[in-house]
Amino acid sequence: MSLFTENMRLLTAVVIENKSDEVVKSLLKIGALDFVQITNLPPEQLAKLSKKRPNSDRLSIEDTRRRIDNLLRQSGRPIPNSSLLKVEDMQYLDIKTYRKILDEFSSSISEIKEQQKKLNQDFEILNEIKHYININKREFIEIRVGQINSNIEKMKKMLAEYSLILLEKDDNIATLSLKRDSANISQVLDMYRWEELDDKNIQQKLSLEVIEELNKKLDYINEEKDKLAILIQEKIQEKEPELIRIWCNLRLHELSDQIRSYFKYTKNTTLFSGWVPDKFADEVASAIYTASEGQCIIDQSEARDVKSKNIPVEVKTPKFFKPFEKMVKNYGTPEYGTINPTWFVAIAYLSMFMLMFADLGQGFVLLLIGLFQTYSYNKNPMKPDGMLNRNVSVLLIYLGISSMIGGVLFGSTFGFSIFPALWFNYHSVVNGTAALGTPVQNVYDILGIAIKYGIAIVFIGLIINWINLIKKGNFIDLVFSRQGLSGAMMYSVGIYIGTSYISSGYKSFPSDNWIFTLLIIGAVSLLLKEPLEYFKHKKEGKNVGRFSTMITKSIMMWPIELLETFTGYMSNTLSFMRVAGLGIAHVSLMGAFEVLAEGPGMTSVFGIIILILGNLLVIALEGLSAGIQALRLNYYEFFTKFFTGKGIAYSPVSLRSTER
Amino acid sequence: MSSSVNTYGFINAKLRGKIGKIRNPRLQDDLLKAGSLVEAIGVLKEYGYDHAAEVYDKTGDMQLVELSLLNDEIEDLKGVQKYLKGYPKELIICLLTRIEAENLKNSIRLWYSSAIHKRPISYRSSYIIKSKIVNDINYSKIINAITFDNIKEGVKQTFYEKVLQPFTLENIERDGLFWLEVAIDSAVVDYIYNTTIKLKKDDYKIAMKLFEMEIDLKNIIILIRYGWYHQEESGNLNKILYPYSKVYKDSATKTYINTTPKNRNIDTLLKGKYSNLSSFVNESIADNKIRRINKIRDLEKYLYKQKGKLFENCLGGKPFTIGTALAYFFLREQQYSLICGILGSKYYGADTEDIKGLM
Repeated sequence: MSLFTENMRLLTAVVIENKSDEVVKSLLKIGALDFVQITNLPPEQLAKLSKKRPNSDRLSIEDTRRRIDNLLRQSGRPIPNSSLLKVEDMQYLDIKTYRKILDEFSSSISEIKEQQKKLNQDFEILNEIKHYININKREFIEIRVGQINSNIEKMKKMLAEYSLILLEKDDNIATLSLKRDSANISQVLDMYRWEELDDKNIQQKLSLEVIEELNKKLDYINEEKDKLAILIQEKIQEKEPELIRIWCNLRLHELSDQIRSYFKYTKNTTLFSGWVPDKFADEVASAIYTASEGQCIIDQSEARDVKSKNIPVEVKTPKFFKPFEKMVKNYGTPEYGTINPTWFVAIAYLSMFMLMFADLGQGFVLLLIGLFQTYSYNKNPMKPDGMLNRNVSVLLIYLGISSMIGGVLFGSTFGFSIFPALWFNYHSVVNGTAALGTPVQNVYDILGIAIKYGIAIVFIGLIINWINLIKKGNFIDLVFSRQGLSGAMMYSVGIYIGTSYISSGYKSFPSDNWIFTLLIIGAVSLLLKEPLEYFKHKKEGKNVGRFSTMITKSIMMWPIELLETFTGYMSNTLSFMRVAGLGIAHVSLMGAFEVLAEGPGMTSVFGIIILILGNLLVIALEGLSAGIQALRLNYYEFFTKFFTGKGIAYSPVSLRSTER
Repeated sequence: MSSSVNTYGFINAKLRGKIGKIRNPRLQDDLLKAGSLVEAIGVLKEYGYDHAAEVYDKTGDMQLVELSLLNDEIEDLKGVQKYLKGYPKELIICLLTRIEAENLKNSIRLWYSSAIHKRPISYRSSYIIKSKIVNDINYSKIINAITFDNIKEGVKQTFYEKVLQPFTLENIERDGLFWLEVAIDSAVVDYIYNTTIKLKKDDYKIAMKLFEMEIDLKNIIILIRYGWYHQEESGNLNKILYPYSKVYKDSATKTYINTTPKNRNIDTLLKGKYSNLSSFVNESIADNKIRRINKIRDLEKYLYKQKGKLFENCLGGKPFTIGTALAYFFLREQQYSLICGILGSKYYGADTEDIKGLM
């Protein structure tokens, strides 16, 4: 992993127009060119260039592709992704045919769905009757047993629109219906000269049988519904390969069109330009050359030779650091040519977490959760991200390990001191039982460690900033800014004053003469920054405004800058006390659960349950809290020293480009 | 005494998060672009309406999907009122009652269709919510009622008992359900009004403004729909109107109502108060029925938009008031109508452009 962002080159190519399709395919295959719109040409030359209309509207390609997404999603099938894309498979794009295929498929599914709906409505009719039988609401249902002297089929037809079960047994007929339909059903029955049976035994027997018939019908409908569900799945399975093939072709054309949107055309040539990481530049150039059969001109420029502030930034990070790279990207993109902070974030984040959540046992639980989640995601790549997403799951593994290391350093396992601490026993220190002669005696010593740790982090941030400023050639900021050498000098003096004051037992401040001198030099340096930048910009021919305005602004801003320097550094440093605070809270909480577990009237079983619940609570709450606080410290106290987030992320058009 | 921050801090923050989700403009676009109802359900899955999508998977019935969406909405709103106390809570219950009243009206309509018109209810009872929303209504009793007294028994000891008391089977057979539905709606509006006036100052201001706006819009629609289109007598028109807010109290309204139905002029009714509506009325509308209906539809759309704007304003106003919850209710309702509208159009195979036009 490079300490800095990757070096980039601007590649500009002119190829023969009739080879442009092949060139597009090659560029898509490599997927390393972050295209730029060609605008930096004299207007008369720019006027000679034209844009070609794409073969089809990209929006309609995307809409058609998303229709496939919706169909597959609706059927519970996985949505295709970029891993299926192969440039070689690209075919002629026939949106009309694709839409027709989708319409036909959609309509065939809709037809089955319509059958399913009808079946479901039949189910609902009978299920209502069954529901009333089940909850013993017999007043809503009616069972009639009787005989008719005419054609039963005709009668059945007339009764079809009612919620009714009709059972024929020998010469007898039993009906089971809802009482609300009683009047209407009676009318029909009367038409067929229905005669009610008086025989109680037959009535009772047929009543039971008609209920049994109802259950059978419901079972039958359920079976039919299941059959339809299987039929839908079979239809989708049968169609899935074709849908995926269409999806891939649509996606490939979408990406090709995206590339073409950056192309400019003359009568016979195609012109395009884009940024590419140094290491891919030759490969891209060679691919263009091969695709155009040598009928091209390719120009490559080093980033430093291009007067552009919009150079995309590629940050190369090994897989191990991916969760931390996400943290960095979440905040912003580093500027081109500056230090890639991922390394430092990884170390700072893990060490902060370790100090706040140091426990061998609880760390092991986090590790197990992380391993289990990661395994489950790896085993099922289509599994959607849950609350513990893929990234957090991997992060939990690292956090678990760092917490375990912390546990060894501070001698804590599930809140108990089972083995001697490698550094100091956190529990003894917090409980006031630290052995005499040990380096850390009380909570003030822990707070001191946190502050020293904070100072180290702040200084690392400042050093990274200085390196970045040197790389950018911004020497004025390096010397005269708050995050530059002047600010650091004042911060160092502040640390000296603070430590001397503590050493004197909070009685007196140091009175060395050089303190005042250094503070004055620092303060004056901050005042000089604006005027120096003014003259520098003026020399470069930039529009700098009026001198008097700059002077007034500098003088007005100076006290604010001074105030911000003092309060900013002080609050940044003191903010690290939360590292100690959370560590102490962690130990205290575990201590409290221990006391509860050993309290009067507690049996050993209850004690163990309390300890288990306590540990779970601490892992969930403290673990989350420590994770958030560590992130906060990185973002607010560390990043603010060097990270502008003004960079533009490198985003080449490739097969892996994210789709909507 | 709890401060407004204590009362609304947590729930309003929670609701604002949910509002952010509801207002996803892509949902409408994606639903419109779906090629069929099946695809539209796929879109719903993408936007987290898993429950509704599951119902479609199991039943294939779009109306049950709508019911499931409504059920989700009710559960969500019940969740909101749990975080509130006193009259703010009561106001949310009022709004839930409004949904419940619609459900009750639907179940009475089923009974009416079955008992009076002798059309079997069949599977349609499955489109009624039978679980408790606010009141313990016995929906089974209502759906299976033989007489109107059975319906009264179904709403016994609920908010609706008194409302249904004056009605008899005879007058329902004679006049239909119209007056019964008007009575239910009026009772709910009265309930909302009586709760709103009990709210604290800031809440009262917001809730009353929304209430008055809504009542004015409803009254305008009533005056035009029933007074102008259906040419109802002044006595009936007075009974249908909600006796609150500006439009009701306006002298122009009284003149309009008392004019002979054939000579009523909506221009005189609206000019001055709702001058923005002049575009709907400046054109003299001939006796063309379709044009009249279209005019009313356009007007209703316009008024609905105005209502939406007012609710939007609530979100930009004071953060710790009932305004956020009321705006959430409105947006949730709007979202429900939007989804149901598009799903319905997809089911009947309407073209995307036609659906856009209707929206």
